[in-house]
Amino acid sequence: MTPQLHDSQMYFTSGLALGAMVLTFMVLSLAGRFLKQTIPLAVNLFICMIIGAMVAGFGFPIRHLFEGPVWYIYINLVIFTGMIFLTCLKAAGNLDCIAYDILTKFRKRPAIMFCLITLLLFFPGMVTGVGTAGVLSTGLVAVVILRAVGVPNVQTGAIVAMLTTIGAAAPPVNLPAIIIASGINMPYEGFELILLVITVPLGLFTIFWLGYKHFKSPTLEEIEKVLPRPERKSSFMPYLPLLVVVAIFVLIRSFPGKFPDIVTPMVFMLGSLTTLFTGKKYPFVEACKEAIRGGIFSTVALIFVVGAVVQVTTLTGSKGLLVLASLTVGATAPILLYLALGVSLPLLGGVLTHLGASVILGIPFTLAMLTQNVIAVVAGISMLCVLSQVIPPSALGGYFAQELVSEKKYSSILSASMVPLLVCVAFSLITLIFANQFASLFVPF
Amino acid sequence: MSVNHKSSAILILAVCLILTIILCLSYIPMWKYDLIVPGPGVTRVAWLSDYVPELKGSLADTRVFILEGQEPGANILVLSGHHADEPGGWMSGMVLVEKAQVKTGKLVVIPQANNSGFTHNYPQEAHAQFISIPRPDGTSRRYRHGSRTGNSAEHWPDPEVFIQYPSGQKLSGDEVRNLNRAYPGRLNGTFTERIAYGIQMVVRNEQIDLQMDMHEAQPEYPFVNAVSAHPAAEELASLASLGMQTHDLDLGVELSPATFRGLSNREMGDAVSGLMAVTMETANTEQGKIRGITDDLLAVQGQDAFYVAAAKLGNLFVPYDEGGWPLKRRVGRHLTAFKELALALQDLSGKPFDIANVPDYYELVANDVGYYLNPINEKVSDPGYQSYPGIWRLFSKTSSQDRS
Repeated sequence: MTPQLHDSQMYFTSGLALGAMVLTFMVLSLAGRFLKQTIPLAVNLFICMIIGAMVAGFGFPIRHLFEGPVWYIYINLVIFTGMIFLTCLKAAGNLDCIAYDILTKFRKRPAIMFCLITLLLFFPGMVTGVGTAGVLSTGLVAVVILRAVGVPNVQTGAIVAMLTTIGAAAPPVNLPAIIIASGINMPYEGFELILLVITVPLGLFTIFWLGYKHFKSPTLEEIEKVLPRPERKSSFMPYLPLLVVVAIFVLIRSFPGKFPDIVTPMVFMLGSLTTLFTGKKYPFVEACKEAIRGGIFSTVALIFVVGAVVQVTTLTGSKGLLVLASLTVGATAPILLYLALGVSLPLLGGVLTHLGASVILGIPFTLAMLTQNVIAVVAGISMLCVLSQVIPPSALGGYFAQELVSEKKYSSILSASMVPLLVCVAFSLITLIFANQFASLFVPF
Repeated sequence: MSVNHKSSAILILAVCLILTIILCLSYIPMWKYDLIVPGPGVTRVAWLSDYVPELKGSLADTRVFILEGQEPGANILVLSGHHADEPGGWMSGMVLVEKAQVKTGKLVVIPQANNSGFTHNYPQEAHAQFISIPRPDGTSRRYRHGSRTGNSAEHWPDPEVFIQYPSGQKLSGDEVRNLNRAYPGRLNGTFTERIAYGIQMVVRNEQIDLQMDMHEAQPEYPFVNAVSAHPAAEELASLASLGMQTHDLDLGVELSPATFRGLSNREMGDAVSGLMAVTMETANTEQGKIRGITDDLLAVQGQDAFYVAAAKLGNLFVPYDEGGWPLKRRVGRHLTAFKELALALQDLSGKPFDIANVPDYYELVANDVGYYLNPINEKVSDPGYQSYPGIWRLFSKTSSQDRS
């Protein structure tokens, strides 16, 4: 390893490393197109990090390539088990029953139906902090319902992508907020109400904006054409696995130390086992295999590689260079700080995912705004971070929503999501600009 | 094209195994306890497990150095190494152990309070695993450079939300491994709470009057180059701050917030009657989020061009120029503050405390840290590997004979 200079020479070294990473990314992407081979984003980014570290004089950074991803082992385990739970719910026919119930009971009440769909799409993100879990799980139910009430395919994809994304910022588990709070030595407390105030209106706006004008009340016959009346043991049983999961979460949070914290993956596995008794018989092991096959695997791989990206960009100073550039823009004029927040967090998160964006930019931006109520600031910034889940190239939630609705191009879904996306950015910035006023109303201390 | 999944699976597993072995080999040296060469002032070397036997044979166990004077007086505890990525804190403890001589009173030093934190690195920080401190004779002393939190092998998985005991306050999940959120600790609690409980027992058994906890913080963090005091130590901290001005050094004073729980000063001050407890912070570039290249030199030299630019933008809470905040300045600040706090303790409690051979800020800046570290000689007791993390503990051997 070459000894590094930390004086002004560092601008050159870190810039060179960053440039090498970007160049490698472009070359690999073009090579993939030229050879008509799909190079997975995770593989592309992984190679970029190796090149970047070598160019900066760190040699082959084996420890750093694997130490960074350690941070995401648990999150990925949550995603895997969450997927198993939801695949089991689907295999047991429980999800069909829930979709059927919502459709038949509220087919003439779009407002209530849309509120329920919002809750359905929010829930997985609320408990896991990852929007993709929602797309891959309750997303399917939402798609069936939305199609049945006449919402076009593109809008359905946009609703699923946006609502699961916003749900990842909803309490109780907002991973970017947790990461930023930890980074500035503050407890993850007092966030519940303000996060609800930010996320619920945005979620409802999104679904009503995209779906309401297309809503057509279906007849029972029309519903049963797209979703035949599912078999069920009783009207209550399809809801039991969800209730078990929610009940355990509530007990863990409500009685800390008294009720054992068996952690989320175990809760999901208990929920999965419950599905064995609440619907039709299905091969449990096969369902588990099915759950962790395919799309979710590339998401998990990408999340791991984001860990390597954060670590290697930290090692080479490229991360510091980006942070300094953002702070410089912000320091030029306060309005530019908000502009930098609104643009750089979602866009950078498009490359690094919402977790990477919160680590790299979320923490320094929060520190630059310490004159305002920190809880409100962190809440607003975390919202901007989660939006990156629909921003390419990673677009974790977006791409899965595209697959779910079998839309050919992601650009059509992104284009349909643009108005809600911009409203989300604007509302988050309003929360940041008026953080003290929001805090006086929605932060307990 | 047909793919032989069995062959590719075997190949991938083999590659994973090789990578795992290579990675394990890079961390195993961090499980070995650092060499510390006690100076003539050290009258007794104990282990935390001597105070709480349940800690024996685990990474929680750490050395406790006792420096007793000829005459009784005030008893002071210096804690450092709560966070193993804050070398300005734990190096100050090391210098005290290797150089200080107490004439009146008693000084207890736990330089690596959270030994578990020294056995790994915090993911995504890209910190060095070891740092070297050059000595004037051309040799150097090598130390582990670890993580803010304890080794996750002892805790995994962290909860999503850590519920602090006994306050019930919610903190980020990985804070469950942060020793400075675990006080007052409990014997039947988490791994980290047991360490905090051990330190509480040191405070009680050694009848400590003043507890100093030496830390570091990022330059963009508002509470830096400052002391945070439990309400019982507020006057003490203010006096020390005035004393620092006589050295042309500023030391901010903050009352430890009653709303932020688990901190050593707040919880121990509340738990132990008559104890004055403070936490000190210096500016550490390698903790900052604006830092550039992250390597072992950054930890020691503390110079970073990006921070010079950030200071000009007004984003920092400490002055920052091309000289940065090298280790010698950070240790110098801590040790000067240590002496001023000890003086203030004498004034307030009436208990004498006399200590020699503690370098001040200007001596450290002139001579550098290595000047105050002893050379390694054959007589030095090497604790070596005492225990291993997580499941590796099954392969560890621990006996009292190893700890001569």
